[in-house]
Amino acid sequence: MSESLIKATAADLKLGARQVLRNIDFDIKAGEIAIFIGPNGGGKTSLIKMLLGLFRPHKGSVWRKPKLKISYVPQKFELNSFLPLKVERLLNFTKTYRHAELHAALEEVDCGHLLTARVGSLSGGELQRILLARAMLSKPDILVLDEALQGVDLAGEVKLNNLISQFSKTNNTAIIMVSHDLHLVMKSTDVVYCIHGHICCHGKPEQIKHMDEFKNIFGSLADQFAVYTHEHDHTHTASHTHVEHDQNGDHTH
Amino acid sequence: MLEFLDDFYVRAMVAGLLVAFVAGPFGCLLAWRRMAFMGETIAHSSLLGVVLGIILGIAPQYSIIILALVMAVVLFLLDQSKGLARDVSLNVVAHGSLGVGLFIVSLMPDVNIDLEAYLFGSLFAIDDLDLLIIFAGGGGILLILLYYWRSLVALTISPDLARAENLVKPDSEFIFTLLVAVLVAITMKITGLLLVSAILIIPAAAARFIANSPEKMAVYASLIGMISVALGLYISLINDVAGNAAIIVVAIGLFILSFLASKFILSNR
Repeated sequence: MSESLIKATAADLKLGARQVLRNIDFDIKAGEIAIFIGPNGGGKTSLIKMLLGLFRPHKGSVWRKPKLKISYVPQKFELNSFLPLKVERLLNFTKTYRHAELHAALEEVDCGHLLTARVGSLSGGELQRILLARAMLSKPDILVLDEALQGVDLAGEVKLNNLISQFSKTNNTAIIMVSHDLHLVMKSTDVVYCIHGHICCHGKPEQIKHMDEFKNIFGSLADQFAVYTHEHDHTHTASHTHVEHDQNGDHTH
Repeated sequence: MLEFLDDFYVRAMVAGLLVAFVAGPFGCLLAWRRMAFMGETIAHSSLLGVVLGIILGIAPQYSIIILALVMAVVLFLLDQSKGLARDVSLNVVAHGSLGVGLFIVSLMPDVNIDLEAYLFGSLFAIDDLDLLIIFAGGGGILLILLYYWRSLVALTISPDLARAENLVKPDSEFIFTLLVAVLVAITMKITGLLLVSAILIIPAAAARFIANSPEKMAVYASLIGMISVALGLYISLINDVAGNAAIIVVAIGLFILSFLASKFILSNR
């Protein structure tokens, strides 16, 4: 098994007086794709910030591999309009890349024409695409995406999710992704973490949807997700009717 | 060799140009980091600094710097504790230190404090020690700022991103606060309390309209500040008006010009 990149052990997080996360055990290895799902206020972003070292756990520990190369797309990115900044400079702000590299990175997210645009003039979706391109440019060991595709149109979201999983395979990059959209991300995911103040349950996508904790939290959403895998199986699996019966064991004939 | 510095007008010009040059990038960072009022806050403490100098028997130039540094640390700690909104803590520190300063002054009836110099500076009374401090202090803080520049710009773009990706040198923000304190302490001599923010922020604001990168904005701010000092002092020489006021009037003129240029000539800024 490959080595751990970030590891949390029995970590609790308090923000002010509020206990946000308790007893978090988490481990991610090179090339792994982990998805965080959970309701608003459930602590997904806080968990990410704790794993990144932006928040310190008040109990337990978080360990990051020394010299770990992290790229991060935060949930909130609000540029102060008083700072004049072009896309080119935003991409270069960690280190300076060759023009061709910058152009290729932007082409991947369909933003090749925006290299010299002002960051302040971008739409929400364009900004997210460019932040993603920036995050991938440095070929990190781990890519942390906190709802990185919000504001991106649906077609773009499918495409970018494929791009992200392809990027993970090619570079053996680990990915942590917060997502609301189960449909789009499950295919290539290794582990799904369901987060609601703690890690309620985790497992492979096909396991987790049967877990009671998952159903309790997601209710109808879990059903939706099940429906989706049916369709998915439908197009790819010969024995799809059989699968359907397995998954909905409570259905009677 | 330095005889030309004997003339008070030449001294004012040299000191003013130097301070404006150094203030350019600082003003930009203060504006980007939404700390535009910090300069003025620290400036309020310089009355207490003068008093402290009298009590300790050291030159006011030094005691003003020392107290400005202390106030910067207080501001930084208040900011860290997150108990108060920044504008509130700025207000508390500014007027707290001013109040204590005035209180102590009133306890010392035989000490004569030049309140006018405190409010308006004393641009035409720059002595050797002032010049030395502006040279050494100004040059020193500018060099340290250059070392932290990338860090501070990264923090402006996105603090979370910058920290998560390890782009931030340790203690960048704390050191920046200390550098601002020193800058304000040496700027006070030229502008006084009432106009210290003007020379820090107006050139940066003017530069914003015509710059398309952070670095260009910093350089333009320095140039706009220096043009303001040179022209302002020239105007004050031929018309016998207050030097610091003339400097700010020119700066405002350049601000308007720059705004108009961005509206009608330049685009994509």
